Amino acid sequence: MYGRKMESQELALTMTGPAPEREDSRAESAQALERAMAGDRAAFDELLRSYERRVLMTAWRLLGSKEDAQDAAQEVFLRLYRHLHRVDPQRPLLPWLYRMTVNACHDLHRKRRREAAIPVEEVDPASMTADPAGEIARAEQKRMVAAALQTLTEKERAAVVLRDIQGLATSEVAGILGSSETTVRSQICAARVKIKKFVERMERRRP
Amino acid sequence: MNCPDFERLIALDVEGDLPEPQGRAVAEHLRACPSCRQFSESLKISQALLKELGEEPVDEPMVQEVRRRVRNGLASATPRQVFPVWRLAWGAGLIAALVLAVLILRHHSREEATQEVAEKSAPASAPLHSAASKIENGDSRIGARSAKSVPAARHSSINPPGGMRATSILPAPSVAGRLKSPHAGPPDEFSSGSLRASADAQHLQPLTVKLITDNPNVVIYWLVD
Repeated sequence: MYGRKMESQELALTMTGPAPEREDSRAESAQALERAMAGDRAAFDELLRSYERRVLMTAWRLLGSKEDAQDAAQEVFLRLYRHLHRVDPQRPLLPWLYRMTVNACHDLHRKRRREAAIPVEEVDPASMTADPAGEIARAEQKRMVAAALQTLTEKERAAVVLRDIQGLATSEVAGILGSSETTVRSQICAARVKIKKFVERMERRRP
Repeated sequence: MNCPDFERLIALDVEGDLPEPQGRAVAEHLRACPSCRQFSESLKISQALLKELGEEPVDEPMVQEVRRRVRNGLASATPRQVFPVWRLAWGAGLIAALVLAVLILRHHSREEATQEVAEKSAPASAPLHSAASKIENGDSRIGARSAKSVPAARHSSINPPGGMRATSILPAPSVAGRLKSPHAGPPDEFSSGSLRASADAQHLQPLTVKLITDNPNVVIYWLVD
């Protein structure tokens, strides 16, 4: 999906349009980015803290495994550090990070596919508090949706994770994935229908 | 448009991804079609679950682990530096200029050394004598006085074909001066007897090669820079 062509594009950030960041936090990020580019390690640490959760969450949903998501997130930030000189501090950093995340996940997914099937994570009962029955049912449904994500093609998954889970606009998703808005809309549409059908199928199988 | 076609539109409409005219068409269809209405409702449920996935907090230990790994990775990773092309061009130009300057200096110093060696090895009277002897057969008005002014290193013997003979090589100004006034005395620097001084003075002057033909009335002068 994001083969050689995407690999060459990934470093030349051509993002347009606003990322879902507040203006003040974006200004802070730009300052931190400039300081990091000048060799300030503390500034890079600041960037790491600002974006690590978003990168981790995206990688987690793209890969379906927390361990793999950690590997991918680590790779994303190390790539950022290595290619700091290519990042334009005048542009929002988040779309660049999303693109890196999608590419890192693609690489990891390909590697893992050769090794073994991706496990779908179990629901952790310790995380449930009040209304255990309701929460278990809800958690089970979310687990099914998470599993449904893994049945999509890589392109569909990337589009739907960025659009519906990360809440980006279709145009932003298109920019990150290097596709047209029409293509992204088509991928999102197919993904939503597939997820719905998967969940319905799983619901029917439940006792 | 049938129901399967509407399913695709409904999948976009549930998140407001459809433009207004198509959204209105979907709404009208949903009012009339119970199966599509059901499809839309169940799609909304799965979409709500999907969005909840994004709201789940990422475990703090998971975040800490990534942070630790990245910090460790930074110790071995170094930011790549881009060397701008214009800097490379400037560097190459500078190196080329230096090499050129060194070559010019070496060439210049070698030329001076050759001249000095020639002056030392040839006695002052030798060139005068040889030049004078050559000029014996040529134009006597230019004669030995002109040959006095020629430095040793700048003498040469030329044997052109066709009965012509090179008789002397002279600095142009002195020859020109004598041609204009053949009876005028030599310049002060020549009459001083200091060949070294005259050689230095003439170093930058052009040379004149005088070619004598079989016809005594025809004399060819060749000016050499």
